Amino acid sequence: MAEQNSKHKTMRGKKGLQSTKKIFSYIKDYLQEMLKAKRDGSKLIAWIGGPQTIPVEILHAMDILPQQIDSMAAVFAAKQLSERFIQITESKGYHHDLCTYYKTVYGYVLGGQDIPEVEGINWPEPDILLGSRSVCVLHPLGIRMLQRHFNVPTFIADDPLIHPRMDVHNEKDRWYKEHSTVGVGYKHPIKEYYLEYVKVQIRRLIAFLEDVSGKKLDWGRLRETVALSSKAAELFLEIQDLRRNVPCPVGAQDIMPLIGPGFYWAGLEMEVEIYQRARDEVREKVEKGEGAIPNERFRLFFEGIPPWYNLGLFTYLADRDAVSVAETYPFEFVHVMDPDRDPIDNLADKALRYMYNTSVQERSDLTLNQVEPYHLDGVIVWNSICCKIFTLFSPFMRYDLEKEFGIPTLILDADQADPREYNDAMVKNRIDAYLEMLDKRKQQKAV
Amino acid sequence: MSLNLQTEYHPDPSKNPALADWKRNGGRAIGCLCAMVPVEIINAAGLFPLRLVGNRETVERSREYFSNYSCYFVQSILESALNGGCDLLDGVVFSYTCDCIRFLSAIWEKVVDLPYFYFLNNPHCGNAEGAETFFMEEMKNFVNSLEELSGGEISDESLLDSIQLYNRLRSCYQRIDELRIGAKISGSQAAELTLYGLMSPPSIAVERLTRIISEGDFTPPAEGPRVMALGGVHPDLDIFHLVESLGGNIIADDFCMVGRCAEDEIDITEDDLLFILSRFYLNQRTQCPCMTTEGRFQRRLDYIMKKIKLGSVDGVVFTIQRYCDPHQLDYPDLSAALADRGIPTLLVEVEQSIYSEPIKNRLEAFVEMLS
Ligand code: SF4
Ligand code: SF4
Ligand code: SF4
Repeated sequence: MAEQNSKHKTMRGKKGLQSTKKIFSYIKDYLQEMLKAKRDGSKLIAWIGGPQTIPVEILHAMDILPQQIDSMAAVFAAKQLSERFIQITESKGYHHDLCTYYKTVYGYVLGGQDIPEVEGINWPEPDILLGSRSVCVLHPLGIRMLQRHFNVPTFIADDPLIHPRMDVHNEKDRWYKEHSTVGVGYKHPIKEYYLEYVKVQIRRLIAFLEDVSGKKLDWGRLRETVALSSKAAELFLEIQDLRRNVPCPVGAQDIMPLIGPGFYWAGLEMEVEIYQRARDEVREKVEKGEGAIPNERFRLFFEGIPPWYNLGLFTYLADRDAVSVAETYPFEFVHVMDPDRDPIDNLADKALRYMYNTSVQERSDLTLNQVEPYHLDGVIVWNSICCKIFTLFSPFMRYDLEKEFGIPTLILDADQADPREYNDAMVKNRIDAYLEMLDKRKQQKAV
Repeated sequence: MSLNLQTEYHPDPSKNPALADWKRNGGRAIGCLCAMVPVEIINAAGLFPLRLVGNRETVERSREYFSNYSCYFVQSILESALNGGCDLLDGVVFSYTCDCIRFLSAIWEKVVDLPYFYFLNNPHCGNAEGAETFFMEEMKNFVNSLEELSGGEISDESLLDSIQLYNRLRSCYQRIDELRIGAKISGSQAAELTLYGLMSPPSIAVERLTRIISEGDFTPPAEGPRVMALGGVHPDLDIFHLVESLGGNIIADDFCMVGRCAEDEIDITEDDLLFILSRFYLNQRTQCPCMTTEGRFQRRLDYIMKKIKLGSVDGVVFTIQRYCDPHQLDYPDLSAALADRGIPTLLVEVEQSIYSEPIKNRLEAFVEMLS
């Protein structure tokens, strides 16, 4: 039985894959490495807000330890600590509506470090701060906020969003299939000066890191980390492909924790190992015809960030024969690169073609493209109410899904880290009603 | 005197007499979302650039396409467009400043039927290496796109004329700002004059404002607490009138459609006009909190402190749109810095209307405390 937090009726999730269960031990080791680095000053610790344009492949090639704001906050939320941290930050005047990832982490900084429950996730403070706008405008602004607090060397990469003008379908009667992304990332040509600008940012980052660490980047090592990151990406994407099978071998409960390695350890052998093991396990399940849940009836796509404090919702869905077969969130972390190419070119490509950096239309098309290969019955949005990137996107996507496929979208208001306004009964009622409607649609289709 | 400019401009494009006149004479007009849009280029293409500031109408239709977890300013603009409020415009230019505007632009492209749409991709870190070069390329594309729309070339001469014209307009705004901080005119009068400038064809605005300023027929504000207001967008003069009705006066502000318009003029010392413009827009003296430029926060604080000294400001009111991340994020450190300097502050959260009882009561108590 999943552990239950009585106050908001939130539950931790149950995981199925052995390889996913192991991730926590890797995290523990990583924490020890960080604590040691903090003690003896052997390595710098970097907190990162806004991945991709701050490629961790570079950090690993320079022995700098990356820590991602999002992941830290997600883990605090999964450990049911985010509410307390958010309240600490809000007591300093930060608004109730602001990004709860940053409020969680800042609350940890401002007072949460002293509480006993953080044992095991007591991340040491940063030596440097790195930020970029690759996901949202809030990330670099949040890093500036932390800079005002820590007063440590800080670097912000400026990176351009993919301009809607570059999409091939500005015409009104666009048809998503002919020209859109299949799989991950932005597939259309990108203007040279966009790539050039991002390359300048990556070179700036390297110069900054060389300066603060007093060490030169070893380009041979960077080539290696890029190659490893790409290999891991292929494995991770293979898992995503395997999920197209009916029944789906692995659901979101396993996939969500698998994001972490790509986020922290892209470029390390460890990342490849984890994904290899997970891929093997998933392959085996497909060969045996084993599904993630015993009785698969509804294949769902998830958009948005799940409420980390209540991953038990996936169990609730499983009990109703619904499984999450694909999600947008995991697509964002990995990128297949060409090891023969210049590593900076590769990383600039990874940064620019990153799904959250594309135009809004492209991002919506990414979902549309999953409908057929993943045999989707429905789409559920975790509408992270503190986050513009999700709340403002969901009506857009709902509109497209309805128009192109007649697929209804269920938008559930649930913040990713703040359980205070989370209404479990309402969320579950709405899920029930939605599944009932999907059921009727299925029956009608069958007739 | 009463300036009576209300009959000459209106924040809603469909009700703006200046726009109606312009259209009657066969002109074309472009709505600009945000102060980051380089109006000089639009004007050089022979088009009338006017700022969109939203309104206080109730949002209904836009709910179908847009979320309520967005600042009201953005919601109200979409609502207005869906209700035909932007029909007199030939198009709209968005700049990438905050994510509310980014998502508005995306849905706009899909559901609002105007001939012209442009998304100007401006960097956020104004002084990052490569930002000026990148932005200049974006500006070139923007120029090409406007040339296509207008059917003619934007020559260097026309761009230079346009920059000079807007410099004259900026010096009008500066003059207005000086009059205001010298307590010769009230905050609401200064705001009215500036808003009029943003929503009128620039040559007409320069002429009219120059005349009004030289006539100098102003009524000084009542003696009362001097307030500085900080924050994002306001569609109208409500906040100014409200403070005045309570006996105070907003003697300075850093709103992007009032106080921040009184920027220094653009220095035309280099040949490459697009480069000059790129640099200017990326590194304006007082940048929006959505910018991540190194030193931006300190510059904002310095600007505020300078105004506080010049205007002998008694207290500062933050007026922040709900769901506005950039302004909300600046608030705690900024208000703490002001408190450290012994300056009283008040936070007022703005959604649809500012005339709510709680806001009024809190402002009243604040103004009273300052007097
Ligand atoms: S949750 Fe949203 S606002 Fe917060 S960092 Fe992530 S994308 Fe940005
Ligand atoms: S507050 Fe900032 S982003 Fe918003 S319109 Fe003004 S300048 Fe633009
Ligand atoms: S900066 Fe704030 S007020 Fe301006 S458009 Fe963005 S969210 Fe709205």
